[in-house]
Amino acid sequence: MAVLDKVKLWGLKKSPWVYHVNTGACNNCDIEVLELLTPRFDVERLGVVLAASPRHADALMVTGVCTRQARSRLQEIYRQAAKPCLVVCLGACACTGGIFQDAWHFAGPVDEVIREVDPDARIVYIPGCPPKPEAMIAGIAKALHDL
Amino acid sequence: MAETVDEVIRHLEEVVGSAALKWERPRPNRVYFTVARDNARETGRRLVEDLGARFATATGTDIGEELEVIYHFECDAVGLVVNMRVRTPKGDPVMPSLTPVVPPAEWIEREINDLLGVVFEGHPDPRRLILADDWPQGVYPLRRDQRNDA
Repeated sequence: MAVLDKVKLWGLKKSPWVYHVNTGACNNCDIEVLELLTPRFDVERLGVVLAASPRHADALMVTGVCTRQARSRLQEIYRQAAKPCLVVCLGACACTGGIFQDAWHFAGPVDEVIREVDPDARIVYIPGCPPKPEAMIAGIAKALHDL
Repeated sequence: MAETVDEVIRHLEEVVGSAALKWERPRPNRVYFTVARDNARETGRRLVEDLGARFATATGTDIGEELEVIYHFECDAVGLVVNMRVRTPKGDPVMPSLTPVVPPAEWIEREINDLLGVVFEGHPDPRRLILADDWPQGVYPLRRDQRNDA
């Protein structure tokens, strides 16, 4: 790996800025993401900040089943995000499709949709319906540790 | 003294009159009646304007040979839910829109049109609401004869 890439990954570890993408969630994962920002969990103390634009983001936090309508938007958001960029599949629907696997609006699990754009994308899975806030923090901490 | 549920139901029967083809009351505070599709709009208007019911939502179902739309109205003072059934054959899935007289029905009618292909005549804005932009025309995902595992 080139030195510059190593520096970029090192930079990613310190204070990940997260852009939240809802590709068709029922909102339950989103409510749990909100918990992360409240004083009880307060992920900002760990350096995790919500970014307002994918261009400022180190990680995309994707919640919800990827619908046919959201598919191309998700790919476009991933293209806009500065690389290297983590993709966090948050919840059962984003990880696999969950109970919507055979549904008419399902357009593939988030990892496959992202890999169409970037086969080498770094993808993190945090399953659960919804995952507990502790699980989200643990998942992101593990992912950053493994960079 | 405030009205009781039974009094509201008597009032409802007067308001709907002979338009109702069949009455059901499966639970004390839930009433179903069926109307012919030609009477749907006028009956919906009377429920709101004469009975004072509030439009809650509508439900569309594929019941085999026909498509059924149930409009749910609520009488909040007594906790009564009034359900108006309207059926239309699949071969000619047309029924009058309630939106011109009951504006809150606008989006749910668009959604039922997307998912079941019920055409609401007189709807002021019958554009696609929730299907993806690239969804093919004329494919209705919640019809029972539609295979969705493709």
